[in-house]
Amino acid sequence: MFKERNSVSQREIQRCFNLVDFFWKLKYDRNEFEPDAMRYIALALALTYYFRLPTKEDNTQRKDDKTPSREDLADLLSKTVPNFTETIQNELNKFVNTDNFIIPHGVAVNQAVSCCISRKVTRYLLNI
Amino acid sequence: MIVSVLGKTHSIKTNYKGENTCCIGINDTINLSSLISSFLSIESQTLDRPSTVYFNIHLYTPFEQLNRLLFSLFICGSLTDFNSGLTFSPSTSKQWQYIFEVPYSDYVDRTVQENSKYLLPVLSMISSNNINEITETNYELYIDEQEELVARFLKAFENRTIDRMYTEHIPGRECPVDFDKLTDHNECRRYILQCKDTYASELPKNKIFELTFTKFLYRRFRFFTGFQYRYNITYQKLGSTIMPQMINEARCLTQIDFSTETYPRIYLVYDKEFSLCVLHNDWNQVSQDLKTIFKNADPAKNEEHQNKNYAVVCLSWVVDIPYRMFEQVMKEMKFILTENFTYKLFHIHERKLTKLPLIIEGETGVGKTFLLKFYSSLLNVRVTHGELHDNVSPRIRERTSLWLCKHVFDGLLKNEPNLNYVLLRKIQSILSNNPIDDEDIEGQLDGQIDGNDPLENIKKSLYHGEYSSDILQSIWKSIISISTRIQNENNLTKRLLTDLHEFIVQQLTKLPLAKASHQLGTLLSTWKVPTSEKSIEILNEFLNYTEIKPLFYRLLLHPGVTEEQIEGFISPICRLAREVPDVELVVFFDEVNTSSCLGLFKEMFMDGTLHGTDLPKNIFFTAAINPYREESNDEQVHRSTYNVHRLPQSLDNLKVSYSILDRCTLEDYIKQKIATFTVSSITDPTIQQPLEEYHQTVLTKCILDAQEFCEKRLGKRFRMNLFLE
Repeated sequence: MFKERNSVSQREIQRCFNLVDFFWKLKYDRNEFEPDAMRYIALALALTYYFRLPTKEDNTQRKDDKTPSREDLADLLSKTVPNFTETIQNELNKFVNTDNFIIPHGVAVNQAVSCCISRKVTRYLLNI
Repeated sequence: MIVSVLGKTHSIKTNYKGENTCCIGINDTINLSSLISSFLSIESQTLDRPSTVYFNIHLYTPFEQLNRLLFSLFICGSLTDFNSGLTFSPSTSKQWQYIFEVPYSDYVDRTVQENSKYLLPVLSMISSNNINEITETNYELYIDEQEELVARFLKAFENRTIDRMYTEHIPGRECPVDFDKLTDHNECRRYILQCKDTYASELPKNKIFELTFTKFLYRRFRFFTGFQYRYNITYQKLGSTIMPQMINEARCLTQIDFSTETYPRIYLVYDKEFSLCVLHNDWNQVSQDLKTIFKNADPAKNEEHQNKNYAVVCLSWVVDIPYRMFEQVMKEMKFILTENFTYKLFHIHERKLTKLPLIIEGETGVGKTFLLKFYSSLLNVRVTHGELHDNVSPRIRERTSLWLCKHVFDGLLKNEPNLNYVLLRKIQSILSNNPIDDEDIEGQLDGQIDGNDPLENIKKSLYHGEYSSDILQSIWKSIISISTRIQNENNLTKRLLTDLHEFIVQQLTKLPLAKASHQLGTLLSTWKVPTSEKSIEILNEFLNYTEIKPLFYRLLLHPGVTEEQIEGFISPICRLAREVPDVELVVFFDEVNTSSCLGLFKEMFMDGTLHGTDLPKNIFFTAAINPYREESNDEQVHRSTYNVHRLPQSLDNLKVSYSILDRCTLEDYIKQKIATFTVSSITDPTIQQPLEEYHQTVLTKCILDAQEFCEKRLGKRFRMNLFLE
């Protein structure tokens, strides 16, 4: 638990850069010829900041009206990166599915599960 | 018994401590058995002389235990540790003197005398007449060389002789501006305190601030002993112009606070010879008086500094390293020098020069560790990047390469033309990544070296250390294999093998920063004359697995860390520091106030001793603390994750706050960071290029927004946010 402690800091910023770099090199769906910088930026932001926040629904369920939600951040980021949420959802669907992962029966691949998987995987791969 | 707020340790050291004094530091825990052993050893060492024992008692001492112990020692006449069976009882025929330093903190509402009675009732009963309280009047600012120098120039400033200029009274006889030393300590003290009262009246009245202020002044006033001032014939009123600026700088540096954006940004900087330059972020903010010294021209715009980062120019000037080395370290460590970091680095260095420790107060992730690590690399850049000779820097690969060039090629192989020819072909094949068989070359033994002597080029590359360890190993392999094949009367192979052994052994003894791997140690001791295969193995171990001791040490503290563990951490560092006196080690204790052994830190940081033994001077102690906050209900949930103690008062006066970077600084940082960030080019993946400008802007804005969003909406809770982790 201690190891995973978060902070908004220069470490986050470095994390963002590492992630952009990672996606740039990866180009994981091989159909593309040109790197899509905007998409990598969106993904890096999502993994560094967006996924760390609870969704609106999470907040409602926990009766928490103080913690800002993922949607709030998405609204802000969409001003600079158009279609931020759609991009992320698309990427999640492409990445976390039964082709790439062995997902036990009865587990619904919702956003919570898929974002958790992708965070863990990238963290593991990039050691950040 | 010595009691006071601050200045006890120093007072005891200068007034009471003699050669036979034994210091015993009592910190958060009392180790009875080691205490008794120290007593026993003192007694045996000083049989015929009186013994003095000095107890340095810290604020966090378990006083109940200590009182019992003192009762047992003074009233019952003996001390026994029931676990080890050790017993000590002071012999009656011998004279013992005990000095106790009793801690005090402003936070308790008792007077100094009452406090010592409260803490150590046993002592106040048996020696109630011997309490010596240190106050402003009976223990004044200690006047040493540094303080005298400060006072000397303050006096010159007051009586306006500071503006004297260089003259040649008698032609041919130089008469630089010098001032007579002050001999009266009271006079010195008066000038310093008067200066503090006039120019820095807001500084709290205590020894630490007086001390820091004077030390910062000392650093600046040494300009008046430098060439530029003493031989000044150009600037009128040089002294009286810069004196107020210097005093002001000392005042600011003493209490600098990076938690707001308002810290002062104009400082005179000096190089080793005390030539002047000015560090500023805006020439218009520099005072008119100062501008005249620089002939009203911004030094940043100076032709000499064209295409250079002015902050780097000033900092390399202060730290006294070449500009290019500074940039090299920045590049290697990917360090981004924002304006904020420039001033922080400047302050760190100035603080280091005062020989006082630095304590940084700041939240997690404001860049403390990395900044100190970077600073440590800067300090030692001459060692790590300078010339190889006269230098303790390991740089094993470069040294081996140089040895191959000088000792092997220019020495042993010099008169072996046949061998050289074959060797050259072989090395060329290694370099071109196209290995050829030894058999193939051997047919051409009588060949001649053609062209413009490629051997010279190889030697040149070896000399400049351009080859990787792998290539060096291949070269060695080739030398050995070819020399074995071409037997000659000089017994060359054997000499090569013994010389390699000798070279490595010599390097390992000469370089205290390099530590042989276990494997290498065994190989070297078993094979005084290695076989060909073993020599290759030895070289491989030496080049690739020699451990390089770091110059920057960080220890993360938590409540479970014991004094023994800290001692275990610090003692190898001290040993190393003594072995390499030219190297400055930076030791960083992170989250120091979560530790329960704060007394020990006070002893190390302020008194410069560890359990009474002196620590080497080339260690710069730094620490970071989490902000101490009074408990409030709102914060309670989060406070439980880290519980922090209040610092001893002397350390508390040395802390400097770093805040979370504000938007401007952050923007500056991200922009510079993005500019250095490269991705592979679309057209040619081998080329690295920066992101397109549009994407740079998007990324900067997004990161800034996201950071600000999290900081504002989640605040400190975000730091502890474990959601979905």
